Amino acid sequence: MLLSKNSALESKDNEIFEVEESIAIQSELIKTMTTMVNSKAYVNERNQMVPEARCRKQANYHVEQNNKIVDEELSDWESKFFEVDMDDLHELFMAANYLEIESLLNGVTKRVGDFIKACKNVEVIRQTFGINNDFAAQQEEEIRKLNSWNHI
Amino acid sequence: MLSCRGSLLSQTIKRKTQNKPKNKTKLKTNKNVSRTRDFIPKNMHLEDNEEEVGFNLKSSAPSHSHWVQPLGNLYFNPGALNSRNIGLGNLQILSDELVLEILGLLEGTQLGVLATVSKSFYVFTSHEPLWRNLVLDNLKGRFFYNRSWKVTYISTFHPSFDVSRIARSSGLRVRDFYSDYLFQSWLCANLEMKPEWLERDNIIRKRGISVDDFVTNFEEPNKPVLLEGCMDNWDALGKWDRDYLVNLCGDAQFAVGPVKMRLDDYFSYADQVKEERPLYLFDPKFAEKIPTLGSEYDVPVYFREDLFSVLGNRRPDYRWIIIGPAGSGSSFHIDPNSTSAWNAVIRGSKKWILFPPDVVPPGVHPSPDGAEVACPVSIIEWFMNFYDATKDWKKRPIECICKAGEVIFVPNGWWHLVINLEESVAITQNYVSRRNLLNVFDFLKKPNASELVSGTTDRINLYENFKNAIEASFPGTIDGLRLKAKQKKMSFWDSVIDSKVGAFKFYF
Repeated sequence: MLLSKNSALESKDNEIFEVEESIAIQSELIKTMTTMVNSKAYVNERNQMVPEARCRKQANYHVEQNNKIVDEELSDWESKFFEVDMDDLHELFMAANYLEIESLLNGVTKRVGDFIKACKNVEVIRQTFGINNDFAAQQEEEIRKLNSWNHI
Repeated sequence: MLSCRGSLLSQTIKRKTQNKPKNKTKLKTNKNVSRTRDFIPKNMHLEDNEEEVGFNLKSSAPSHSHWVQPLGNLYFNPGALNSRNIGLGNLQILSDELVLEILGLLEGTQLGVLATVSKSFYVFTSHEPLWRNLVLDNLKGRFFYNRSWKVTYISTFHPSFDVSRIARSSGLRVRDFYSDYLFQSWLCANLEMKPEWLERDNIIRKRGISVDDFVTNFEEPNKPVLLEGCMDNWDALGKWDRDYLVNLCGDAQFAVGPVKMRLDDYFSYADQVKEERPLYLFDPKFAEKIPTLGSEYDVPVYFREDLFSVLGNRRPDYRWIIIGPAGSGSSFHIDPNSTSAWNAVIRGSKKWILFPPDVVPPGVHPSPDGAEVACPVSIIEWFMNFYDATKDWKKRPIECICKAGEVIFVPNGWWHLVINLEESVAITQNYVSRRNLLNVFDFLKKPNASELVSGTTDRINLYENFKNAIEASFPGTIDGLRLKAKQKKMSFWDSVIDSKVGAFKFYF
């Protein structure tokens, strides 16, 4: 196998990850930076980034994703990868958002959707996402009426 | 048209990158909006028919049902909190598009539950495109539009619920919700075309010219023209009113966006709908479905050379009936297969904007191979954000309003945008004549033909099939055309080298 060029990515807390270039540029942000800064600067491109934990997840995500060729394996692995609690999901989302990685965003979005689907009622949703009820009493009554179709 | 749930993210990613050049104009919108606060001292919301940023809202526009405001207003209201964020909890860091992406994965019942979680979710879950997708996914074309997509969904799946309750109440008024995306979406759904967008009419109009005249002055040099008087003998002109069409077409299913619908049901939708991208009836098999329709119009004499006809019924789609309410239309695109087109308005009127092949319209981003055109802004949003830019360009577009009885010629390769100014019925056909044949061959030969070629299931072989069929029916034509083209090229270069020739221009 040919040795691909490696990019060295530095996270905010100064940990350095060596990632294959082809994987690194799945991040739109990194892709733009490398093409903007120096058309040949693929090796040892440094940039300050999000904290280490997120970054490691990125690197792992990509490495694994690119290693998995078989679809079934990939979807199995993916569902395990995203089976994390809301806090971790939050971190993943922040990283995916900052680095602009479409496939990761897709995965997070889907997972949040699953979370919501799994919530049995309003209270559970509020707890899961840390939401306070901001309806006034009168508004709640109105909402209940407008929404009563849902309980038929 | 807002696409089905699965691919919403890719659209939103595109929209995100589109926002980069758009930011300038977006800021302008915000500033303008907050200026209207002077008009509305106490209330932070818009009343019916209030002029918003100098736009005219449709007279049928409801007072904003949820009082969504653009972000600009928030910045002029220091200390104010955005209930959008408060009510989303730790999802508030997601962009509006991503929140909607997530909501797009949910069923109606779940959206209903979410609506009661917080004011923010109440507003988000009322976003009409969500309910439109649910209706279209579940019912395809078999829906009976009732006031709004959400009400349509509820009345279909929960018929025992009295939806007039929803209609009677004006919904919850949420006064402190700021979101550019949702505001823009509401604005575009309720905006009317501004008069100044309709003023410019610089197309050449001709009546009763000969075919030779047309070919020499317009088809050959690839210039648009509006032709009058060539539909005078069309039965369709006098006959095709609503009642006639509905009676004639009965239960026939016409292609409407991603679904198929009966004409009656489509009109019922068109009468009520107020959205940014209304569903558009665009059917390539109308004459096969209802032969009478095909018999009540005639191809204008200028366009009778129709070389794809050598393929018989293996030819790509070539003729469409187009029906749509005010606000429906097509955003910027180039017609496929490098064909030319004509578009005849039978009822109603259409605003056209055309740019020549080498001038990409502002706000439009074609991919290098031409396979994709990223123009995610709706037609009305294009007018809001980009139309003014065309005034300053030296390369102004060709514009016109095409009315009933008029036919517009769209030369091959030209960018065009069309919007119906009122409910319209039209026929359009794409065609290839000898003037355009070599271009079409070049197009069909392209290595990525399988992505680019449209209107046929046999994309890869279309080039071979077409070429062979032409040779069979018109032997020697292709060679003749190639020779002519070569000679033309040579004489051009001769004139370039000859310094005695006067000023010339390169056209790239």
